[in-house]
Amino acid sequence: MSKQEQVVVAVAGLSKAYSQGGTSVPVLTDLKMSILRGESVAILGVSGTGKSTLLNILSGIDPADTGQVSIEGQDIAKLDVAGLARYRREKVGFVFQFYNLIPTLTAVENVMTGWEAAGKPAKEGEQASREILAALGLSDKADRFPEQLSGGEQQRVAIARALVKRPALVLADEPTGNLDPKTAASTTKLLLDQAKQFASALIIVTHNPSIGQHTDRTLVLRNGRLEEDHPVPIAAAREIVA
Amino acid sequence: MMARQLFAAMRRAAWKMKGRLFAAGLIMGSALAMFVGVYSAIDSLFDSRTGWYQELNVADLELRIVPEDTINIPNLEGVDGVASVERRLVLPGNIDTKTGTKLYAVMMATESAPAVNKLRIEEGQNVDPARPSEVVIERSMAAHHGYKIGDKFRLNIGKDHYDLSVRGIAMSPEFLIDSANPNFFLPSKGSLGVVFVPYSLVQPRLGYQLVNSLLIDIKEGADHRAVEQASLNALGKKVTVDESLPLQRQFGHLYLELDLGAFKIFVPAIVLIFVITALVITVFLMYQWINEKKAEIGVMMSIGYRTRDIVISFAMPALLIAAISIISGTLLSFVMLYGFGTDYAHALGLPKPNLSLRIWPVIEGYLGLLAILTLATVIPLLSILRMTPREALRGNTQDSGKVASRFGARLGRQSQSVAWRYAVRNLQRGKGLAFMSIVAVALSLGAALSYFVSLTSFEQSIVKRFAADDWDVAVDFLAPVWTDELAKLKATDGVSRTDPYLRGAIKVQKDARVEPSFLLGIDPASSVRELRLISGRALQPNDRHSIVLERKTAFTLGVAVGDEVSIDVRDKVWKAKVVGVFSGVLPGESYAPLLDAQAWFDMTDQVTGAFLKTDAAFGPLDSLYLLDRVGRVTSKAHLVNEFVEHLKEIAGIVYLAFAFSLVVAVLFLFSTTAYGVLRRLAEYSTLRTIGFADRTVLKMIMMEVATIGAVGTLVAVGTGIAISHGLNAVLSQAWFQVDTTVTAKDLLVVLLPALIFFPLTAIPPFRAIVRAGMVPTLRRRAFG
Repeated sequence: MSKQEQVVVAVAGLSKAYSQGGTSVPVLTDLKMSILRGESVAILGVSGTGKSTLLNILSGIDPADTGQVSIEGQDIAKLDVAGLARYRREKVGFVFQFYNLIPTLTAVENVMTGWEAAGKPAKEGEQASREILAALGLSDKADRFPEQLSGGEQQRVAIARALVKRPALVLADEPTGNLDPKTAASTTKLLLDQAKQFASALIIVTHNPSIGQHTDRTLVLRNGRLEEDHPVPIAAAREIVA
Repeated sequence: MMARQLFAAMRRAAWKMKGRLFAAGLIMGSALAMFVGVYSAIDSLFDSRTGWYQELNVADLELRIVPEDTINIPNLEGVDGVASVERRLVLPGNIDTKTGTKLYAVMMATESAPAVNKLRIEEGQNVDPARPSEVVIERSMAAHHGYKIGDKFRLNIGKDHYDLSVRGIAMSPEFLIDSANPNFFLPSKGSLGVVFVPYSLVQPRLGYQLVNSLLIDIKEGADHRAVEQASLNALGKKVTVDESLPLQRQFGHLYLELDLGAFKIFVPAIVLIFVITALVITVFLMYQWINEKKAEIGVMMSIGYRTRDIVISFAMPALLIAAISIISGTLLSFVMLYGFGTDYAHALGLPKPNLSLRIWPVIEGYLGLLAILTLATVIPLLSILRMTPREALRGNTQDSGKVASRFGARLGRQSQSVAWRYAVRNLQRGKGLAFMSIVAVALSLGAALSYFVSLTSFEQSIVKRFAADDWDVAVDFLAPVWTDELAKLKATDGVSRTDPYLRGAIKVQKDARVEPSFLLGIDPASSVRELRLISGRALQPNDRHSIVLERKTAFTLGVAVGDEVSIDVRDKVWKAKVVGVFSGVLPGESYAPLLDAQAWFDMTDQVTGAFLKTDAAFGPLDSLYLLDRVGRVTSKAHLVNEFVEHLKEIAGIVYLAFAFSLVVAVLFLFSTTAYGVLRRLAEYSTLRTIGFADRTVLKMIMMEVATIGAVGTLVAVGTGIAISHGLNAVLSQAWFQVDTTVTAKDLLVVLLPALIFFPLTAIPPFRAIVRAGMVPTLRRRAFG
């Protein structure tokens, strides 16, 4: 595989501003980054620095004002609404802070939504979903509804849903923000292991500095700019998000 | 001051759900409109009739007598209670119409313009004795046969022909509705030509002033039965009275009474269904709102608002619903008033009625609406009074869990599709909501279906009765004929069988009770009339001194099968045994063996008409008019067709009611779908975020709506048939036996539009999901 084929996310000159009371407030300014297949990246930053905006732009939910966002060589700015939906369903897996599981679907069925949304054959979906749930240690709870699972278990189901279709890119928005430290640590490990196993590029947006200790790289967003792009010591990371 | 802020907050919150409030208000408004509009229309129609009666001095009593010279008829003006009397000669005949067909006609000859049963001249002028051949025609002849002022036509009375010209076109209180044939009690617009002539037209041919009808105007406040009896006594033996016909038994009057009476039976049932639906939707809306605001209620309680103030502030939506329903209901009342009133008047051929909203239905409607709204508001508001601050602060958890029922889980697994599973589980999750939606759809559509089924049942009960009758054509003679005079009729090409009959008015008496009746004497061995028997049996060969009575006559007299009754015909009394009781369209009809009838009327070997069975060789109907003494020819097929056509016109009212019902069902489904979907906004956003196409999301919502719609529709079929059974039972009590008939057409007419419209209710909530976008909802904690 060539170096170019290894690049999943390529961002260059990305800027985004929101209008507030008639004036333009910049959120992201001239961002540049690239993430390789199987690589995990934590993005740290205080509230309001544009972490979620960056995630939304990468997922195609929000458009960028300027700059280029290429996912596996495809410029997503050129995609229409249907194209963006197709992009999300085929290439992106999401993990949310509040899990966002569908309460009326069992764990395995929730995972199947990720499979079904990707347009993969329904028959194989259940087996694939059960396999990934088993890998995440939930084989005995696959047929339970979300309300019958703990927070950590629910987040593991959400991880399974994001990864079951083996996406090129996994976007995790504060995946441990709703969990106790012990569960958060084990859940993060599972997320990183599975993403690595599936060779998915993983971006975790978080306040939690300890996550950066486990990812391949840590990026810091400050005042809308990516200021650092290297492993950050835990003490420094705590300072960043303080 | 504190409460003012609370009210402001609630007012804004109520305004946020204005769409649902508007839907509830419209449903309430529809119920109000149905009640106020239709009852006002019925009252307006009856009042219009009363107005016409007063304006045109309708006869309170008509005495039909054997034709007699006017000088031999005692003066009835002196009878106590009689205001005035009009003497006239009524002769049946026919008119050669412009299209070459024969139109059954009656000639009404009076000295001058009649003073009782006056004519309201709509065009031209009234009759003038100085211009005998210039006549006035009744308005339906002009409307349905194209006659105008100055037109000439020929009136045939027996062998006499009168060449006449139209001098005036008039409305008569006696002919507000045309009968296809009074013997069959079915309306048929334009089936009768009524010609009002001055006596000077016929006197030269007759030589003396013959009279066979006395129209009596009774003084206000007088006892009608006493005046009738006194008048009959005054006529004494000098005049033979064939029939004493009070206004209440006159065809037009009686038909309107029974037919509008039938609608009066239907309206409460329809309104009740609307009211139940409106009640359910308002209670549901209020509960739903309180549930949504539970956490806010907790906060308000915690910061010290009094529960009473919170309850009052939460009554705000009820005020909005009341305002919307009163405004929309009042406006829609006019739609129902004019829709029903105009359509009904047109269907029956009535003159243009004076339609207006009536004060009592309006007051009753408004009070009823407020009562229902109060009830619908108070029940949910009581839940706030029972709420503790701690309980309220926990907020709403209604939709977030409790979904793992085995049934729901198993049902969902019937499909590999997650979209299907999601839709099914959502129904199961919001089963209360789904149940209410199904009930509302079933009630609304069931009611609509019941209107159609009842109308078809009404139609088919009559059509089937006629279909069972073994005759094709009925011939009424101008005057009784000897049976050997039927030879020419029997010999007519295509006539395969002739069943002569004798028809006349009798009085049936049991002890002190007396009831008038229209008797048909037929050969008991014939099967020309198949009666819908309630008890006993039909006439049988060799039956004598027997009679079969219409249900109401038997009921009023208090007689049953096996009882002996007295038959009073022209002051002679006979005895007969009641062998059967039947239900018929014509109230007061009775059947007896022909030989008995001939004996009772002292007309041995004479008949007044005949039923004919025809075959392919039978020529045009009009050819029978060429035979001697043939007065009226009635084709059974034509009679039934006219009746079916008449009901098709009436069906306009049913379609209007159906449209209302469908709107109610769609509004309810829309309201509950919007509620359910918007509560799950974050879930749909998640599904869209992880890549589900918008059309798949729309499909999920449509699956829910379609499932509710389909189940509701299915239940509506059963509900509709059950309601129709109930309505038909009431109608059967009020008029004649109506057997419930369900046709595929009625089912399709109601269910197809519903099944087309229902899925469309998924579109507005879906658009709300798209409008809301994915970003704002994804980070919401409250999932479910």
